[in-house]
Amino acid sequence: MKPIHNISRASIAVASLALIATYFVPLWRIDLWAPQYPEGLVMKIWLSKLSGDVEIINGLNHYIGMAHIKEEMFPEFKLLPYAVGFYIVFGILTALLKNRKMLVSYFILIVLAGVVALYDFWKWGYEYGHNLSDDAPIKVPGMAYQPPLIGYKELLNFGAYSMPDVGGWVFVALGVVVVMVIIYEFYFLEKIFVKKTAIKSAILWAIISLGTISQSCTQTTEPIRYGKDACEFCKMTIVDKRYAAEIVTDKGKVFKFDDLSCMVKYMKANKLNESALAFLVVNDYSAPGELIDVKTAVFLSSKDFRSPMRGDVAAFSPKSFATANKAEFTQAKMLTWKEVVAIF
Amino acid sequence: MKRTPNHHFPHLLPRPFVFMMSIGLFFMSVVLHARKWVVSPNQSIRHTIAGAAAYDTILIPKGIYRVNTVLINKPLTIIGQHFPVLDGQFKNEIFTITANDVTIQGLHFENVGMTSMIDWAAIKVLESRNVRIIGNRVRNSYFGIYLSASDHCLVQENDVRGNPKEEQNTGNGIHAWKCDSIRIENNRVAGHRDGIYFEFVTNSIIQRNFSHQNIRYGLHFMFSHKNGYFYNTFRENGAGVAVMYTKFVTMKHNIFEQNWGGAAYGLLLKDISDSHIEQNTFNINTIGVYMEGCSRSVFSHNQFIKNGYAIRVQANCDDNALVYNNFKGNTFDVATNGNVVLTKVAHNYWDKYEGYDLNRDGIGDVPFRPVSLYASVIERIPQAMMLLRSFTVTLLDRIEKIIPSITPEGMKDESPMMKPIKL
Repeated sequence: MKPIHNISRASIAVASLALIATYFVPLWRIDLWAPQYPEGLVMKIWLSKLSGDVEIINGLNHYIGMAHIKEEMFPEFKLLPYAVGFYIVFGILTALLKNRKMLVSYFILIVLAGVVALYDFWKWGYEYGHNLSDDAPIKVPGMAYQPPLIGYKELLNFGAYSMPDVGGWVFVALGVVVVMVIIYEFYFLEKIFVKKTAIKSAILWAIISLGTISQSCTQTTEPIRYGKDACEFCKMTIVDKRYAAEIVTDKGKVFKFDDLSCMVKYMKANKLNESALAFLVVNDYSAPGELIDVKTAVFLSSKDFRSPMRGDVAAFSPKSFATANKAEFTQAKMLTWKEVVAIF
Repeated sequence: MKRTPNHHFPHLLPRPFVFMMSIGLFFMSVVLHARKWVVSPNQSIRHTIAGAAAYDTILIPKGIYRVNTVLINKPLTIIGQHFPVLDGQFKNEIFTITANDVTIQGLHFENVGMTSMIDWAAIKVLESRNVRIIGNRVRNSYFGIYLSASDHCLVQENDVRGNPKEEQNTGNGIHAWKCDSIRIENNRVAGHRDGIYFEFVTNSIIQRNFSHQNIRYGLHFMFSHKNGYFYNTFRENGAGVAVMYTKFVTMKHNIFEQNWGGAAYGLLLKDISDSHIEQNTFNINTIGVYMEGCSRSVFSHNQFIKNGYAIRVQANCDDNALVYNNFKGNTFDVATNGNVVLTKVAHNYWDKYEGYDLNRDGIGDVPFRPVSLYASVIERIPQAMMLLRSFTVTLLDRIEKIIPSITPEGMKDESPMMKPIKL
């Protein structure tokens, strides 16, 4: 039997090694959107745990009699890390042994895994959405709350989106790579040698896309319209170009604030996790109107600042901080971003 | 410099009578020796002030005086004759008052400079008592009249006008910080960031002012408890009045009108409690009253006329009462983002009410639901605003009236009035 080509071996090896990433990133995400949660609620499913606003979702679901979501409910969480480990090892072996039969079995196993996983997920969703407690405070006759398998579904006043997260896409990419390798090895290679390069580059693209998947849709900061935009937290119109701040979430939503204290309080009130935000920017005190990243900024706290909501903390870029006349501000105290978050 | 004996007993007596009694004879002797000084054209105001004794009067004749940072550190009465112009030439501020019992009257201040660090003002009062600023004009100034850590002061009949060209770089017209027992009355303020601004001010009164065309608010309260404002008119400001993080505020007989714009409102109440909003008129605003975190407050005998939304209540408000108000010609009477609203709504007149009154007691026999279905829909899907005044919406609202399902159950007026309430 003809051994498989090196390019195929390399692709398989890279793709299966990429599975290691799935231990560190969520596989799947369910987003809930409702008017009272303008920023949405999210539940992320990992190989061995759940994260996100699970507690809030549980609180809500309680009203319609749904079961409490607990990690113990899912025996899958014990199994999945090993299963993925198996797939990594199998992939590496396929690449090492150059065996075509092995390649085919790997392909079949992956398809099986996909089908089983989706069925398991659907079955969970079905039971979870149909098996409602009888003493629920809110009962809608005939209503079931099964979350969508993939895509969008409306549940009462919630819109629910369900889709793969980074880890899930890594699996999808692995599937695509294996399919391409199979096509390359069994179909094109024998018949159309001309297309060889095309397939090669297609495989390469699939691998490259693995790396770029984590960088999802592009978010950008939005200029603040001073005198027009209102602070998301205190509702005041933003006029002072020295203290305004802005958040851009990973979904691209933009929130503007007239004072650093408003931004921090808003993040706390809405339990926004900093890691889930694309941008956190604040005006440079020495260059009014210019927005700088909070992570690179230097903060000064002094009663002399008199910011709109009396947060009295100003941000400087390292460059403008070097030239700023610190003696102007009485009892000035230097703060890091972490300390700023802590004081409000 | 001309020196004329003062034959008149000064008409300005310190406000608290007890205070006057306590300094008794000493004070009387000072008053009796008070002199009157007139600034001559070739003499500087600063020089005249330096030469004057406490409780003297300084008269400034008509003319243009280029001055800045004039320190008034003793009790003086400074009176302008036919509005002499004090030009700050955009350098620094003009009058800085650090003494009690100072009166500034009939002067024209202009061109105060702007910096990012110091709030320069045409007239600044620092840690003083019984300062009276009466009938002055202020033009083109960063801050107009600025009271800091002072008490028992009076700001009356001044005309403060900023330069709206430099929109974001303007300060407040009348600004009070950490003050107590002050009165702001009969002033006109325009073209500033906030017309009148109160921060950490207590036991004070703002009345009969006209605040219009300011960039942000006509009047702005922050952390200022136990104050009242009456008979003011707030027109065409970025937004009318913002009362924030404050307790025990009385707002009566004010007019909030023509505050138009994306998020503009007549009155913003944010984290307010134990307040009274009575006998005001909310006329032609995008949102008449916007309430967030507002509790134990009473709205009564107000007129809500031709607003986009008369009242928008966020679900985090509780224990407020809405009684005996008139709602006429508003696109939406009440909107809310939540389903449970703990607000007492009773005895209001709603022009949209279509019920009947069989026992003729003037109160409708069926309740009125002020939150329309369409308002609830827009709250969830803002884009639905496109369908305003369409047939579908009218139809939906009718159905909702017969079989309420989406609009908040608790939000209804059980005793709507058949005729407008006479105010």
